[in-house]
Amino acid sequence: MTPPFLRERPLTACHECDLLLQPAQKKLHQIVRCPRCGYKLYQHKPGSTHNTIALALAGVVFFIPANTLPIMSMELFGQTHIDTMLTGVTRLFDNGHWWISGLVLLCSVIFPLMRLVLALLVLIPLQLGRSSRAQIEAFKLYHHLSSWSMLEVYMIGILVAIIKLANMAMISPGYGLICFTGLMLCTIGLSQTLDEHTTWDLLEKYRHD
Amino acid sequence: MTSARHNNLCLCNTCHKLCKKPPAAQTKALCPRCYSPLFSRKPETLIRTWALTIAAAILFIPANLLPITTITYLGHSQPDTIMSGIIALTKAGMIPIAIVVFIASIAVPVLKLLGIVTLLLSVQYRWSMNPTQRTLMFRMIEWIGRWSMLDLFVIAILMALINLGNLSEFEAGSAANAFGLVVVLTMFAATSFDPRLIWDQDVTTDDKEPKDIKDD
Repeated sequence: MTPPFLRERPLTACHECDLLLQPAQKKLHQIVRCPRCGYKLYQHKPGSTHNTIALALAGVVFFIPANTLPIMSMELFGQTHIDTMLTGVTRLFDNGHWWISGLVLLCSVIFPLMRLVLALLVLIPLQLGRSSRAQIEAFKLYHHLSSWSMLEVYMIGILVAIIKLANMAMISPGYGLICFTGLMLCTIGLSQTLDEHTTWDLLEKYRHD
Repeated sequence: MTSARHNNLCLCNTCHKLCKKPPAAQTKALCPRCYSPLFSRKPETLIRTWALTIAAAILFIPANLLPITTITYLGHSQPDTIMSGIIALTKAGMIPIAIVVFIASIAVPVLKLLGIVTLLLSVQYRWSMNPTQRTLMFRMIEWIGRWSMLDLFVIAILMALINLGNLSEFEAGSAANAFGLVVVLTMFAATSFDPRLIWDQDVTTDDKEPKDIKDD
């Protein structure tokens, strides 16, 4: 049975409380919330596609130096130790903590990179008016990885480590820290600029054209 | 108020497209837009969430009792649990850091476990809690989960830096493995819970018309 109001215009529903809704007209910079539970249904972000492409490209540029240059170095008893994003992971692995090592590697290196690359794979063809099954699968993966990319948590971790060690050794930040900060800002910005709602609409629209 | 489910519709969980509800017999209905499996409510949501939450709660015990780190300094080894590490930081006068570590490693996992259990019980026993507050609680639990990874990141950074052979060494303990599992399991538990269940019991009035969306 289809109620009469369903045939009149397309409806939407709230993702968090399942309330059936009449979609509002999209206006510039507008945030639309569910009237019942307050869930942010969508936020109109003008220029989202090319802003996100620019940010993702910047993130990819920062990625290699952020992971290979020293984040900080520490001098203790006349010996210097350098920490890059990967030294901690390899030491954990060498000492047999393969599970923690893998978890840290995934959340602080692999998933952030995957999100940047997947965003590019979805949005660059979309900007050219193309949509394919591969893009749809890539965008689903991007969506599922959103809470598993944790560079901002890692950043706070770096600060905690610096403060913990500050009274026992000389700590000096490296160039890697600057690149890491840039990479972190790009991955955070990605979630802020990408308009998932519109991206899905476009992926669907170009498929049927 | 009328829900999508009442009108034989369901929202795709991945791309949020409103689709016709698949018939119960047809288990493999896919979203026409993103090809994700369609379901009106997450399948086995309560059982899965319970299982993940209970597993995380059990692992939280060894994560707190076993040493999470061992620091060897000039031949003297000192294993530390999460709590003794926080106490050591407080004694060393690093109160702000102690608070940050306490929040990320103890307060957040405990509150998350209690929060998920509260949500599960409230749905199963139809408690008359305010659904808006419960939704807010669910959103907080979802958002804050990743911050518990902080301690593991700190351990990885310190292991890279403190490595002087016999003079001084920093080593992750067995509790780190348990703690890593707690974080991952509670994050999965939050994802497997379906907040729409909170509102399902709330449908007291059944209007015939969908509401208009309010603008902010």
